[in-house]
Formats: sequence, structure tokens, C-alpha cells
Amino acid sequence: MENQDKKRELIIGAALKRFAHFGLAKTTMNEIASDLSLSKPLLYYYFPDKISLFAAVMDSIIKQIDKEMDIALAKQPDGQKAIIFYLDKRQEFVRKYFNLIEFVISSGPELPENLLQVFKQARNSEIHRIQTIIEKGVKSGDFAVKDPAFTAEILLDALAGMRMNHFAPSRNFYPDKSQFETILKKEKQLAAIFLKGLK
Amino acid sequence: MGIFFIYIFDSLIKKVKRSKGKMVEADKKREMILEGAIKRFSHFGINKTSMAEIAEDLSVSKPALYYYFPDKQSLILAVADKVSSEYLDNVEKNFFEHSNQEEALMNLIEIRRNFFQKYFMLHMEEDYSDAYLRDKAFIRLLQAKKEREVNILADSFRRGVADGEIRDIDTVRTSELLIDTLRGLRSCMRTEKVIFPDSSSFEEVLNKQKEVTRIFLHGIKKYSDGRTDIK
Repeated sequence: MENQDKKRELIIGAALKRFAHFGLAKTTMNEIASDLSLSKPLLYYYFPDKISLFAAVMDSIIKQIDKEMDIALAKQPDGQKAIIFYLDKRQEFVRKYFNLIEFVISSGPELPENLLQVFKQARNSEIHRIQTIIEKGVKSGDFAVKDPAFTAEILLDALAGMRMNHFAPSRNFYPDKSQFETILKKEKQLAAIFLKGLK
Repeated sequence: MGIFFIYIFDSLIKKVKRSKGKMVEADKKREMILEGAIKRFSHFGINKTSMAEIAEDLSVSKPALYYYFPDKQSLILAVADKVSSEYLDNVEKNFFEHSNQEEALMNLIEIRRNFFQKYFMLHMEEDYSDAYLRDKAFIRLLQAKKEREVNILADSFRRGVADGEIRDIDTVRTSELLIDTLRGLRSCMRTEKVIFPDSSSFEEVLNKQKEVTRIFLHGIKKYSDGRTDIK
């Protein structure tokens, strides 16, 4: 059993390398098996199809990001700074794993069920993260928010909508540096207005 | 009569000008396609890139793309020609700027590293099994490029001989030997299976190449004055 878990981890690690560079469509189960010097039937024993392997990879990196993010955010003193820190850190991960996310963006609502599950979870943990930041601000008296969970959701959706608009018109398969820099600036500005208002 | 000739002459000039303008436009478009293809190729590799994707990246219709490059192989060839010409221009510039042999060679090794790291996914090396590498025109292109590199290096050796910095050697043969040695060291890197080598393995090759090149220049025999190190 332990050995099986180890092997599963090994496969997820190798698949992550492939998916992160080539994306889902351009990666084959064959290549992953050959990277690990594994027979195809053995690979299929662990993951019956490519999507389920992809879902496992996404799940694993999202968990890892969550962990890193929460540890780092706990050290941030106030809500204002924490939000900015969160946006910076978030983009760092997005840039690193862009080819993984790209597939998800382009397939939209037709996402397979097991992947949908992974992303719902990711969304919830992101809402929860912003909520924690807002609550911190409420506690210190910086913010006055009645329903931190709902406010967090609004902020998340506003950021997501802006991102979508920003990246949609470009046809680059990988957005360039300046595109990332501009959107980060916009995100921070939006967050600042959101938190402080325009008064 | 005279006016008539002037008219003909004038319209001729206009025609030439017009076709020239079109040429420039076509060259630009071709260049743009090459740039787009290089972007895709160097990230996803040649085998995993389709003509349709390149067309889409550039918002060019597929027929327009096929007008410039009738098949993928011809695009690959043009890309290989472009990137290797850029590399060789750098190499030429390097030998022009560094007259000291050792300095120039150390710098050459770094230029090589940068090139092979940047365009690793093109697999323009000998020990890959991609189908496009077996294309005759592609092989001929690589041979021609290698010849040019050997000649650039040989020219530099010749200047070194003239300056009295190196012995009177067969410059072309020596330069080919050195380039083959550098290539050999690079292919030694692929002992284990890696999808893409990280920068540390490029660094490792670089250091080995520099070391061998120093030995190549100085030998490993003891110095008569008792020094043992290669500087």
C-alpha cells in the first residue's frame, strides 16, 4: 500500500513536468510512461485515463500552493499588505503553471467532472483565503465588513473578470511579461479601491 | 515621341517600385511567420507544433501560411537557417572582437551554450531521432553551417599563427577537430533520460568544454619552469 502511494506520487511528479511544459493536449500517456520507464498497463492501473491523471496533478499542485500561501500569509501583519502579498504570490504561481491553467480556461464549462471538482475546491480555498485576510483587517479595525465570506467572493470574481478581459484578446500561446505586469498592476489597484473605497 | 517615351519610362519605374514594395511586404510577412514559428518550436518542439497553430498565433489564414511555406519541412528548414545564421553571426562577431585566442574560444563556448539552451527543443543535434532531422535538405543545411563555423574558427587560428600566439598548424583541420570535440562533450550529457535538461547540466557541459579547450591550447605536459597548472 505504501509502495503504491509512492509510485502514485512519482507518476504525478513526472506528469506535472510534462503537463507544465507542454499542456494537456500535447502530452501523451506514452511519454509519461516512457519518462518513468514504466509500462503503459502499469501507468493505466494507477490512472485509467489522461484526464484523471491531469486532475490528480492539479489537485496536488493546488494543495501545495495552498499550503505555501497560507504559511506565508499568516506572517503578514495587516489586511492591506496581505492582499497585495497574496496577489503577488498568486501571479508567481500562475506564471509557473500557466500551461496547466491554459487548458482550463480554453475548455470553459465543458470541463470534465473530476476536474470541475478540483477547481471548485480551489475556488473555495481561494475565497477562504481572502476571507481570512478580510477578517484579519476587521479584527484590527481597518475594515468594516458584515459578511467577510461574501465580500471575499465578490473581490475574487471581480479580479477573475478583469483577468479574463485582459488576456482574452491576445493570441499569444503564452502571455508575455508585460501582459503579466500590467494585469498585476490592475489587480492591485482594484484591490486597493475595493478595500479603501474612492473616498 | 519624346513625351511618349517619358511616359513609358515613368510607368516602368512605377511598376518596378510597386513590385519592390510588394516584395518588401512579402519579406516582412515571411519574417513574421518565421518569428512565430520559432516561438512555438522552441517551446513545444517541432513535432508537437502544427501549421494550424502557427497560423492561428499570427492571425494568418492557413492558405496564406502555405503560400509562404508549402509544407512544414520547408518552414523547419527556414527556421533552422535563420537561427543558425544568427548564431554564426554572433560567432563571427566574437572572433572579430577578441584577438586573444583563449579569450575568444572561452567566449565561443558560452555563445554555444546560450544557443543550445535557447533552442534546445529544436533538437538540431546529431543524436536525436526526429524525422525532420533525417531530411536531406536539412542535413545539407547543417553541414553548410558547420563548414562556416569551422572556417570562422580557422580564420581566427590563422591570425593567431600570424601573431605568433600559436604554432604553425593546419588551421582548418584543427578547428574542425576542436568543434567536433565540443560537440562530443555535449552529446555525452545525454546519458540519462531527461525531457529538458536544466541549466545546471548546460553549465556542466560548459565547464567541461572550457577545460578541454584549455588543454587543447596548452597541453597537459609539465611546464619546463616547473609550473603545473593550466591558467
